[in-house]
Amino acid sequence: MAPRSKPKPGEPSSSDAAAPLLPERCIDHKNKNIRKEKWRELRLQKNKEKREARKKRQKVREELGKDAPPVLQPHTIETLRIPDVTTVQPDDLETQQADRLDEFGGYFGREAAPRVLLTAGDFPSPKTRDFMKELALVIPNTEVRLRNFSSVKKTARVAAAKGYTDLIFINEDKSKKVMANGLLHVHLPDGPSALYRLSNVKLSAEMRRIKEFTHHRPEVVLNNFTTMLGHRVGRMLASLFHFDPEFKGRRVMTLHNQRDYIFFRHHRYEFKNEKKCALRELGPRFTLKLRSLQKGTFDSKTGEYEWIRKRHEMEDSRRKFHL
Amino acid sequence: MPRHCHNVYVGAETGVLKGINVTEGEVQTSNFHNLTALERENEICSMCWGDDEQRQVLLGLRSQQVKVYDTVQGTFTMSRQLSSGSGPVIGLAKHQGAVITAVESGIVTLWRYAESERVSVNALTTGEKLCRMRQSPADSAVLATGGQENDLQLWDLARPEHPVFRAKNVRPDMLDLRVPVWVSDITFLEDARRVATCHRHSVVRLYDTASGQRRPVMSVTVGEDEPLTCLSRTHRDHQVLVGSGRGRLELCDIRMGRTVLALKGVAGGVREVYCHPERSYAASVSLDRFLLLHDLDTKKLLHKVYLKSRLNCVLMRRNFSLNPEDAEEDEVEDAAVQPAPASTGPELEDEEDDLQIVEEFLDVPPEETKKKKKRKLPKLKISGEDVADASPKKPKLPKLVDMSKKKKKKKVKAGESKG
Repeated sequence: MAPRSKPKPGEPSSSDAAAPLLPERCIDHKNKNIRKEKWRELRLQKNKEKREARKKRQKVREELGKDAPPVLQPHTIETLRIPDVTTVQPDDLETQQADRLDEFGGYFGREAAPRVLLTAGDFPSPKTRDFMKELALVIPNTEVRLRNFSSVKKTARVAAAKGYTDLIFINEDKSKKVMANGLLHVHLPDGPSALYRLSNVKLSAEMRRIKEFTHHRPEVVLNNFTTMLGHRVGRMLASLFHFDPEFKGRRVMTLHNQRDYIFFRHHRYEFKNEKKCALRELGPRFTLKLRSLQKGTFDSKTGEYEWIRKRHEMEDSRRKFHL
Repeated sequence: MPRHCHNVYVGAETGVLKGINVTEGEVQTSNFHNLTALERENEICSMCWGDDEQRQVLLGLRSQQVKVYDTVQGTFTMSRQLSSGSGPVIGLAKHQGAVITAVESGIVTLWRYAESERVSVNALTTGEKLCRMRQSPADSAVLATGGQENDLQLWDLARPEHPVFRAKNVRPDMLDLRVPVWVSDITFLEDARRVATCHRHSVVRLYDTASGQRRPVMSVTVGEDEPLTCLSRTHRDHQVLVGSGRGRLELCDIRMGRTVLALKGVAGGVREVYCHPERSYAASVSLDRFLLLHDLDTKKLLHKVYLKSRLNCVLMRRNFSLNPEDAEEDEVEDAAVQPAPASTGPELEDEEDDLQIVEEFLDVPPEETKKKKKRKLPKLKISGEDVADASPKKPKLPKLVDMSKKKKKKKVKAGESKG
């Protein structure tokens, strides 16, 4: 009964015929002490082989110098990521055309400047109110309004009529005493609605940097949105900020996607010289995880979804990501 | 392009028509459009076969244009801008050679060339918009329509004043509230007297139009808050495949009144479902830009094809099969049954019988078609995905019979045969 492994009969195989990723847990002995010893010996042997292999590689690299083979990269979940069929190719004509024609075509064609309306639930807690105030400083041309007991659908309709381009609802679950845990972004007039789980919110007031905010329009950096869904979400988030940044302000918003989590950071940068750049993080910072992307404005009962996170169907592999 | 080249056709939101050749091992896709000239108004909203041999594909666009794509020639042969009501074309059918269109504002029109012969029906006497129009397999003049707050209605084009069948809503629920109605898709079952509808309020309803009962015979609730968007009859008469806006594909048994099977693989809302009438294949097309091919008997996902644009409509050929034996059977059948099609040149000139067919069922006297020749738009000849700018070449028109010359030949032939 080998611990934590499939029991395999026989001695540890010396040949590499077995699958290389599986460790050789072929030590199967009923006596625990003997088993332990055998396993220890095997581990020592493997580590020795590893060290020797590394020394060899270093030698080869020293000898060859420039012509040496590249350094082996360690395996991470990102490097082992299952390649996605829907990854956007930069020269794909159809995707470019679809981008021109979709809901953000107006924004990226520089026709309509964004105008954002920000609101929360009916009686937002003080922390959520502070978060909203900061978001309003961070996203240019944003208005914060009280909910006034109106429904999402009605708000979307009225806001679209009044000329807003985006609507953001911050959701909080008071029973859990956590500040804000949801963010619904509705692009108007008939654009997609993205529902995110909001977590890890840190306000700049806590970082005591709020006095360092300026009102210059920021630059936006979108990292690692590779798949078609990621591409769409990236464009949706980018359409919140004005398309003409004021570089004088040296403000940058980063939306970094890693393993389907979108990290929002706000920095001010200063180039010391050509190679070095100093960053000062201003707040706030938060993390988003996409739960669903709905075609059209918010309509959870009778609407159509472009993408819904179905945990058990989609997340059967730890190396598969959707954004 | 050989006739059996593509066996599935898909219409996308960007207006691109895609032909897919699905074989057991691999899948090949080709676009039939100039990718630099796409417009939002050209979104393909509905598709149907233009003829019984499945040579032509009719496309209904958002701008109320109807286009005809010829699969044998591999080009768009016709494009017509229609104006009836407002909104996109949500239903297409063919009746005696003439096209029937249904638009979102509720107007269903049979487009005969002679304006006096055109039949127009306003299906949206109540409700907000029309969502679907389907044609009965038994009688091509019978249409079913349904929409948002507009329950199922069956129309006969011969008597367009009143619907032949108007469904009644189910009884109010236990809180005595009226049950809302949003018909998103309709299908006629095999015997054409039973009609199934699916609603955005997660119900599938079955009506028996010949029984005299206007209320649904069966009402099946599929899931909870699952906005059902599309429906298709399957090769088994008592089962129906339903797709929802949340990405669920469920096989619903109307006899038992519950879901029998849920198919996996869809991440976005299902836009259209098309099941093969005899074999157990089901093609579904969704907003997550994938075409899925399932086998309903083995419950397996056979193919998942990424098609880059959000997809709206799907059509499958009658001879679609991943089994080579079925393909052979189909070829034998087709060879035996196939009548000589009207637009291939040399064959038509030789056979007398086909001339007569052309005369009787041509919806328009020959002189008018000659006039129409000049108005036809140039064809967009597209091959594969890499296409240079489509330049309007001289259209290769189908050879129309010249009646005056043919009559002389006829007499000669009759003389010869007699002699």
